[in-house]
Amino acid sequence: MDFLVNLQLGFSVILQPGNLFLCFLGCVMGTLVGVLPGLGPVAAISILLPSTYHMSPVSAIIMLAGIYYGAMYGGSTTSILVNIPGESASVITCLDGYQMARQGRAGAALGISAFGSFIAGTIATVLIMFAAPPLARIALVFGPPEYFSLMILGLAMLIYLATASMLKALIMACLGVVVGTIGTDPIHGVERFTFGSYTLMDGVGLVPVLMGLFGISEVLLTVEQSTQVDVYKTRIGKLLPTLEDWGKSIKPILRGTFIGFFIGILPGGTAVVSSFSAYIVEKKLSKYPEKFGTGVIEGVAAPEAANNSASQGSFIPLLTLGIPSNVVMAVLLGALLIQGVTPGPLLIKKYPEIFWGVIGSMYMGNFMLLLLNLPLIGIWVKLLKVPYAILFPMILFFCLLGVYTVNNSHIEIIIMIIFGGIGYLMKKFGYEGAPLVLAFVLSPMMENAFRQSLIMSAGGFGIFFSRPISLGLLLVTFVLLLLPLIPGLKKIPKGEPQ
Amino acid sequence: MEHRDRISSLILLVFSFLVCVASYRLPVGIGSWHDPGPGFFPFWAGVIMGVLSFVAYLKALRIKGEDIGPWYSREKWKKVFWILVIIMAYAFVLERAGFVVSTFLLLFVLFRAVEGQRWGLAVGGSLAVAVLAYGIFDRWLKLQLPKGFWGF
Repeated sequence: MDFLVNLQLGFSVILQPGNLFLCFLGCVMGTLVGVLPGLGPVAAISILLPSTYHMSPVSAIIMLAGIYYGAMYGGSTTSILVNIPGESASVITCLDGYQMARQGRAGAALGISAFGSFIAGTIATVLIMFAAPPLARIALVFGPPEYFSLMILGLAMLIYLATASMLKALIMACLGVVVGTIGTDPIHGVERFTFGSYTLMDGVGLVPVLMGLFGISEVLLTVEQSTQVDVYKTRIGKLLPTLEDWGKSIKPILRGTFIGFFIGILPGGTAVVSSFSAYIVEKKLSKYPEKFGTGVIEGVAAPEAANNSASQGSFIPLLTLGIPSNVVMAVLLGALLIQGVTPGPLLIKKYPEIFWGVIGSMYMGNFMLLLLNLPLIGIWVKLLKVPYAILFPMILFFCLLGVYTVNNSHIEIIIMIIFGGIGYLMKKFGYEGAPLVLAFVLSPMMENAFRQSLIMSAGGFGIFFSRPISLGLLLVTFVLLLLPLIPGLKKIPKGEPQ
Repeated sequence: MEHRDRISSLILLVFSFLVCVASYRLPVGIGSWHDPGPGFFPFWAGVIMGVLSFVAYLKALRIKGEDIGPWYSREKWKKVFWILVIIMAYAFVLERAGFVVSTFLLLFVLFRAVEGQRWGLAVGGSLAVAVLAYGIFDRWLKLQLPKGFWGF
């Protein structure tokens, strides 16, 4: 039993007091940003990224991973009690969750979403444990052409699932590629678009871009709207769902888990999309689809399970292929690279303590989150009552502090503010941030893979089409990008950008 | 597509044109299919972006009817503007005045001037956060925050 030995290694990593504490800290931070509207896991991970530089790689990723799946737990609380999604993967939970709260069943809704998340998270961890090592072995045959095609497919998928307009998402992806080329060209050593700045010679940093697009711009937009958060005044009631609730929810939770996991491992698949898909599947399968949106518990259980298992499933492409499938994974990739660990097919072999440590931390983290989100729910509800006028200066301060400490450079603060302004305008004009960021992160990797492929083929472009895996990936990409041009075909459910 | 897309697509079109020109003028330049130079990737990304922006512009032109109103909030745009100015000022002051002083000023201005909190809360809160953050991040986590000429 090979995997038992590995699992033991994982638990020995996570049970070290320091790692256990960081896992807990990540889960608390995740729940916190999940509960607070307007601040998502991306911003939280970026803020805490500099503090991980002094940690070991495995400790760093354990904490950052905890933030991501912790946010999935926390987001539902705000959706159910305030009817505002705490973070984007909980948008759909508002529909039935808030209605349940209005009917005095807030406790049951919160309870089932926490238990559903726990079940989904635990099953997803088991699935990762079994799916990742074989996938990594397959990925070993991938050469530069396959990697290039896979990254193109990942981008295409994200663009296809774009909320507003695919055209605009494509434009943003191109912009991301351009921003990603800023800095010193790795092959010729030529400086590109640096305008003589030393800071830009290493390229535009990931953290200032992210904090600008997802932190600063959110603050600016929220300040402008200044909606007063109105916590629904009700007794939360019993948190433990009744037997009847369980009977109705268990199948939706299991279906949501598998839908979420499958979408999570797809390149470009996000937790947002998974929660929408799970909701729609439940509505289709239900005996009373007309009641969805009036406070049925299935409408809370399925999407909350799905977003959790998707958030964990999306670790698979990162840990086996080294390719981030969404923005959060892009940040984690950055975190690992800073630590000198290159994720890819060899990661599980070369750094078993990282892979199995993360697996172990997911088991522990899900358990901690269940405790954090059920008995301690009152604390989070109180937090929702802190006025934004006090909250936003603090958020701004943490963004400034986080960006500055990356390289102790005030230029990075200025880059962040510029991207904050760009992000603000993008939201106003209906452009999404996610394709830009993913393209920005993938751009240097894509360029390398592209050039290496051309070196392999001595300049022949056919290399991308003559190798079967690469051809297959590119064909799927073309289909995805051409589908919307066919009239009468409706796009599948979409979510807000992460 | 909305009316305001005309502005955004035109800006992006101009930007992509500039990217193409800049890529072309790089040393070694675009290169060829057989030997792509440093400008190759940004150039073609710029070309695709330009074509798409032009399509977006044409689509926006076809839209008839009234505009949906200004994209900024008439009352609150000043607040957004001031916040940007204040954090920009923080970027320039931070390394000269030191972390504690700059952070105190930043939070104080945001609390008091932008949001109109009471004096006591603005002064006390800002001071507490600045000192606490210094203790945690500089002393405990050893992140080496900038010290002003007065040594903290």
